Amino acid sequence: MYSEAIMHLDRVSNNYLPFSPYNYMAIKKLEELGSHFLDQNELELALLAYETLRTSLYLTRHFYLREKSLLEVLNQKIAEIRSYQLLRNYAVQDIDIHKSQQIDILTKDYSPDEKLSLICVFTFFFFIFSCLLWIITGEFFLLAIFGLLAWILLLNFV
Amino acid sequence: MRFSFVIPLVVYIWFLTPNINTGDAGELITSAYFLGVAHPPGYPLYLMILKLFFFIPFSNIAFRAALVSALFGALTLFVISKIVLHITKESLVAYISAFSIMISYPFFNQAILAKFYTLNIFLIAVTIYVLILSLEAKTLIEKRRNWLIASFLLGLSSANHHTALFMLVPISLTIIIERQYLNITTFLTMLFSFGLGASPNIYILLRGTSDNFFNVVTANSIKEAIAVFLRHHYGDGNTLAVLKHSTQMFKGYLDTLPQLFNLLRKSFSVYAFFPFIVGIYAQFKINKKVGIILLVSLAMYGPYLAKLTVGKDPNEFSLYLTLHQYFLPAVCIFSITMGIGLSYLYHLLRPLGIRRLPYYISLALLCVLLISLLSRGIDSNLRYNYVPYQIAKDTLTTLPINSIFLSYGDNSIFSLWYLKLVGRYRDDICHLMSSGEDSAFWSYQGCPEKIYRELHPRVYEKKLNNIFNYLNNGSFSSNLPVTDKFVFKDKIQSKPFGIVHIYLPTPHYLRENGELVTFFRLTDDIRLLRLTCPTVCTNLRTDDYFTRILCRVYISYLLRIAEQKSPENRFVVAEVLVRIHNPDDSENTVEKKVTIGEANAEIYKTILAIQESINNKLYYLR
Repeated sequence: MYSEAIMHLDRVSNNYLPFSPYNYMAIKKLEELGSHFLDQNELELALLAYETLRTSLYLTRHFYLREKSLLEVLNQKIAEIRSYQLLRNYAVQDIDIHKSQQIDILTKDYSPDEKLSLICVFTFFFFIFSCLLWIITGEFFLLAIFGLLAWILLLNFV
Repeated sequence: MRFSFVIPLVVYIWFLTPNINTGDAGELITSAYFLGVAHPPGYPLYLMILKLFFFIPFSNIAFRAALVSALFGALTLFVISKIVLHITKESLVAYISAFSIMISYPFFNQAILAKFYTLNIFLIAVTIYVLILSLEAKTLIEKRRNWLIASFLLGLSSANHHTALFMLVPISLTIIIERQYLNITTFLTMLFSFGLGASPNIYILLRGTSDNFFNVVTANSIKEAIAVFLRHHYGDGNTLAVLKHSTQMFKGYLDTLPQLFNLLRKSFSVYAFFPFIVGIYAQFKINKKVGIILLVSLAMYGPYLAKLTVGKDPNEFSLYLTLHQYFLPAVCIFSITMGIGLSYLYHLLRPLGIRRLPYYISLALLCVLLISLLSRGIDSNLRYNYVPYQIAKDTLTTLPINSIFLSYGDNSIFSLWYLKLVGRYRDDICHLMSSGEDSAFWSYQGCPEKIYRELHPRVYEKKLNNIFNYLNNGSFSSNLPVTDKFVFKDKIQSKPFGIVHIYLPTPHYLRENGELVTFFRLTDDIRLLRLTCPTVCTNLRTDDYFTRILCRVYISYLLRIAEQKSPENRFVVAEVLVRIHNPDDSENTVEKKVTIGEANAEIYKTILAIQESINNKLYYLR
């Protein structure tokens, strides 16, 4: 079954390891499967393959989102398939409006800025360790207070 | 003692969940990912640690979150081995204590999934260690330093699970015991340290505002932030009410003792009680003050916590839910005392002239413990558990484009949040959640207004009449069928579709509101089968209660498909009586006569395989 194949490729691409050839191969294979199903007009399976690939990229993001160029291609294809499905199931009139609506949903990213989040998290742990440092050595009190204030400030901006 | 950290860490990582797990994981991960606020009391400390781990460029976000539990689980065992070594001066006994906790069912299960309990027990274990060090400190400076650390850790604990705050009693007791060393400056500095430790709770106020993208609960003012912190959302279960309850009905403490005994017997074995009882005597003999602190801590996390959380006659579910996680500190303190008892017994054996015997006994016990690890591989192996992830994914996969999905129950909701908001899978779906079938209140975390206002403007008007259009074209569905308990049962009926239920208007409601446009056919159900992966449930290696509930969803779905593919007497292979879980009542089973033919034989085979896989009893509750 194709869905089982996609499930296993999904697992491999979710077990991301930098420079892993298997991870790379799983991404390529999912992309190929998506194109294959699209050619066969198997819209549900094509959507499943493309969405799986896109989600595996989002679920493995760390301090940056990898394969950004691939994501742009995927967003276009997914928006197209979703619009076609709307046309088929609900006989919607204007497919272009629906496609641009889908593109809008797919491209907007509401997650906090990675760099600011990273600084914010490090500031928090800086605060915790400087507190312990103050307790143990009796010094660096101002460092702890500075850490706390910086963390509070960053939380407002992230 | 480094092996008491390295070995558990390796073991836990080996058995770690590969992706999202059941329970609160989805909610906690999504909250941390968007720097939002989780369910009360918000868990800011845990969320910040999760967020730090999300930056590790390895595996997926859910795995990284589970890694936090494994790390703090291993660190806890390291601290516990240090405590036992500090008291007994015997490293083998310290290893026995640590490893017996490592393989205990509750601890093991919490260390291999994403949740805050191992962090909680780590903070408690470090506080106990610091208190013991303070009692044995020779100088005033050392004592004062340890008290400040304990106060800081207590404050920090308030930014995680509130049961760690019970350590206030052992800390206060330590100060009372050593009151001659306390002066007003030290006391005020301790209060200040507590305040510094508790300051991460300001996160609730800063990130809990309505304009944040994701919050489980919002806190737009100081009053609301305090309400989150004190868990006012749980009504009678709020922190202050629970504490008040603890002072009533003293007999309740006695009622909890059998439950507590059962927990410890299942976590270790009945034989562990002998060294434990000896340990209580021995710890008082070695150092009376340390003995008092350990015993009071055990009382707080044993009978006291049991009185607050476990009723007199708890059912299987509440036992599993509470014993599984709340009593980890009791398990750890029990094991410390057991280690002290074991060491004392060795001490008694030495004068008999058999000096090497304790050494061989310890080695034998360590071997038994490591072999017992195999049993955790049978009942608590999450390494291959993709059920929560796959069911959430299959649910979203089978939903129509731009549809609205209303889900009930944390188990189903939280993994959907993870997959849809963090993984952005099928982000055309507006996911609403409801607290129960009898509730007309929907929350919108899975359908943020910022994204879906343009697509589904009527959803946010919060009136059933306004969502009629969605009902009318079959794009409103749920994970539960409409039952008699359902609040809108007069207006809405349901039809199974894929692994969900499409909500449609009732004929009466239709007469008043217009025509029904049916876009789906029953055959679509069979077509959708190729998009799902039910085989994920056929080889479960965990007795996780919630995973088994999720797999029952697949059974009812597959059964429906099998019936649709009825062989109609052609190529009939057999007629058998199948005992299946009642789709409308997951706790009970029903017997069903089914005709198996060429057309549906494969599906029935899968049904029976899942049935066999989930029918195993819960080992822990057996």
